[in-house]
Amino acid sequence: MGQTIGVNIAKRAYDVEISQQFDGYSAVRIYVGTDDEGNAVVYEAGDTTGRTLEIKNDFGTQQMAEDILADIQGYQYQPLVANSALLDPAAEMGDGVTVNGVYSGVFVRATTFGRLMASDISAPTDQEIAHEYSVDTAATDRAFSRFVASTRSAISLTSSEIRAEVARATTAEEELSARITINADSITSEVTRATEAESSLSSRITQNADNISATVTEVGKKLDQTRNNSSFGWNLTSTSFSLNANNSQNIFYADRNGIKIRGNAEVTGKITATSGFIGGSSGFTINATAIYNGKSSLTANSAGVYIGTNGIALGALSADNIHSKFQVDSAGNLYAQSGTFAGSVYAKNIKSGGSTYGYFDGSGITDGSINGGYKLETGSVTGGVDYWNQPTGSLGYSAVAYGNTDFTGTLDQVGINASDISTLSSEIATIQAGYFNSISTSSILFGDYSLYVASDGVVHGSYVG
Amino acid sequence: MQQTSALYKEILASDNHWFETTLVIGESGRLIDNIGDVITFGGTAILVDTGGPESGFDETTLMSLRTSHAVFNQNVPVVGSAVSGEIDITMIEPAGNIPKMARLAPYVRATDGVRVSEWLPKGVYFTDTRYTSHNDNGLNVLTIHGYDSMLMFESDYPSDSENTYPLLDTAMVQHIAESINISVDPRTFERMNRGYTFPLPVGYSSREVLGFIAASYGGNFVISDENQLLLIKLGDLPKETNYLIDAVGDAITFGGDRILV
Repeated sequence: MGQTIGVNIAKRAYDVEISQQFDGYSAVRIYVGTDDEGNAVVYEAGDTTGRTLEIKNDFGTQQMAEDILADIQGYQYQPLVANSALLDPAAEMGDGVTVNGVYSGVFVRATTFGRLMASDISAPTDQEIAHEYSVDTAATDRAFSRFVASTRSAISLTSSEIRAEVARATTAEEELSARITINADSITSEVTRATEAESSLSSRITQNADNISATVTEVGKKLDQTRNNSSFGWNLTSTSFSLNANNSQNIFYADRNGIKIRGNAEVTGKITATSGFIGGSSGFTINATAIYNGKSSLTANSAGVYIGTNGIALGALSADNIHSKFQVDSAGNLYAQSGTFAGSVYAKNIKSGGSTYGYFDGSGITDGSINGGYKLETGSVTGGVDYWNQPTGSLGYSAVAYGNTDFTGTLDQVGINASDISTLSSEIATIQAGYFNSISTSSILFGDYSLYVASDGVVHGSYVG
Repeated sequence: MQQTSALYKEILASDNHWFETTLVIGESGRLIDNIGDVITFGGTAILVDTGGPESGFDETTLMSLRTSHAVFNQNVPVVGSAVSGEIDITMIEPAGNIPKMARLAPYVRATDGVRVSEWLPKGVYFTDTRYTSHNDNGLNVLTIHGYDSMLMFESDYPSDSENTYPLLDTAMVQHIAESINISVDPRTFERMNRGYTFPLPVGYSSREVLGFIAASYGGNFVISDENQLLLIKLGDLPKETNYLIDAVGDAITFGGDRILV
């Protein structure tokens, strides 16, 4: 370790240049950087009566500014240059020297080794203060101006990162800044626009080896001071692409298997799908031949709906265990467990009865319910009609009982042809057996009496007992 | 000022004195003669420890040697700098291989032709670039440019699993110096007397951190001639020593001692 001393090298220098001594330091100003709001953070100590020492220190504090000022207050830097000075080789950087009676320090030194060990030494300066003709703005003031100017830029280069940044305060209320950061594994570019306290917008694109992503973020502040934030971005990898909102929700995702959309979709063009769902995987299923929900075929025995190329069906199988509770097949065959037709029903052939078709319940038929030219064909009524209450309209009939039950009232021949009667011979024979002795073409014999139509056309009765 | 012996001072005070230079290259090597040829014993090269000045190349091999240093990183008085010293060497190319980033250590001593002083170390540098040319005498001339240890601090702040941050400034300087196996000049810690603490400087190089610490004390870091980390404060120049001097500025001595007035 050496000592720090003043060394007098006097006139033993080939070329000496001595400039005007600086004013003494009276202030220290430390530039720390910018705070979260983008405002310059500067610590100052002292006053403007003398020279200001400006310092850039990311870790600066107010205490440092005051401590440094305490050290240098009043110190007057003396610029000088002494070339080929025969300086003691033992002199170190920062030692004091006297050159031509002027005392300063060794702040720059280039030594040529040899027998003389001559050195070019200097206390350098390029400050305006060294000139008699000064300008209005000192270099220190310009440095500060550069620091807080409306537009400022910075490029930093370290072993691990390159960063370029430009910031501009467009107005007192708005600031723009852009930054590109490069390191070994990523490139990031960012642009930010802050508008007073109302909102800020920022966009960022990040490129890594395995993905590229971009995000635009807005941080808004409502009048009630609550935040109204939103962001939207995308991410591209070697296998997928996604759009996300608010940094988390993927609203669109695409990979080699297809795409997924979360939320609403509006498509004005054509959509082609060979399979899929409506209403999620528990909703309607789409395939090439059908759309269904809970019922995967026309006759699947499960509740649901099925719409396919072979028909339409609703509900599980009906009691016949063959048809769905409602079913229309592609041939037009309709099956329904039950139904009500409030309007007109047109049918070429209505079948009722038996285990297949059940019973025809006519309790709902009222006067006038059946009208028009209706006709019961042979064999069309089997098993008889329990009770047929004829209308009592213009014909004046009260009621007719037919089949296995009694006729009550009057059986009139009108509307019944002889041929029709002949076809009922078996029934008449039954009548005969129950109520008449015999029936011939000319008379009816019942009990001890005979009824016949005489030639005069009058029905005569006689006791034949 | 480096510490020197009384003999050194006496020789410098004499009217007839000059300096001798030696340059040590590498940590070890083969013994060579003044023009760089390997000296052998029984046909075998003699390995020597070149860590000391006695094994260096002297003026017979050295054609020129120049070092340069700056306290400020600008041409104005500033604080917060950590500027690397540089060395430029032109010499007859020695035999043997000079390894990459070879250590370059110049020394100087005073002599009056009869007495010689101790060798004063004048820094430690490391080879950055080199090239060889031929001069008119048919010799290979080696030109070397190198930097001192400060350039090694242009790497990330060294990882630290032993200390807790925020860390005392002196501990950080010690940690940085140890990362490249150099020591800290004791004057540095004498000057760092305010006990500032700093957070773990993630993303900063060691040289940047040294700059911030130096700025905190209104100073700058350099690598001293003793190859130690030295803080030089801007306003810390010693008071001018008012020795009695003659008309050309030489000190007037009485019985070998300078006269303080």
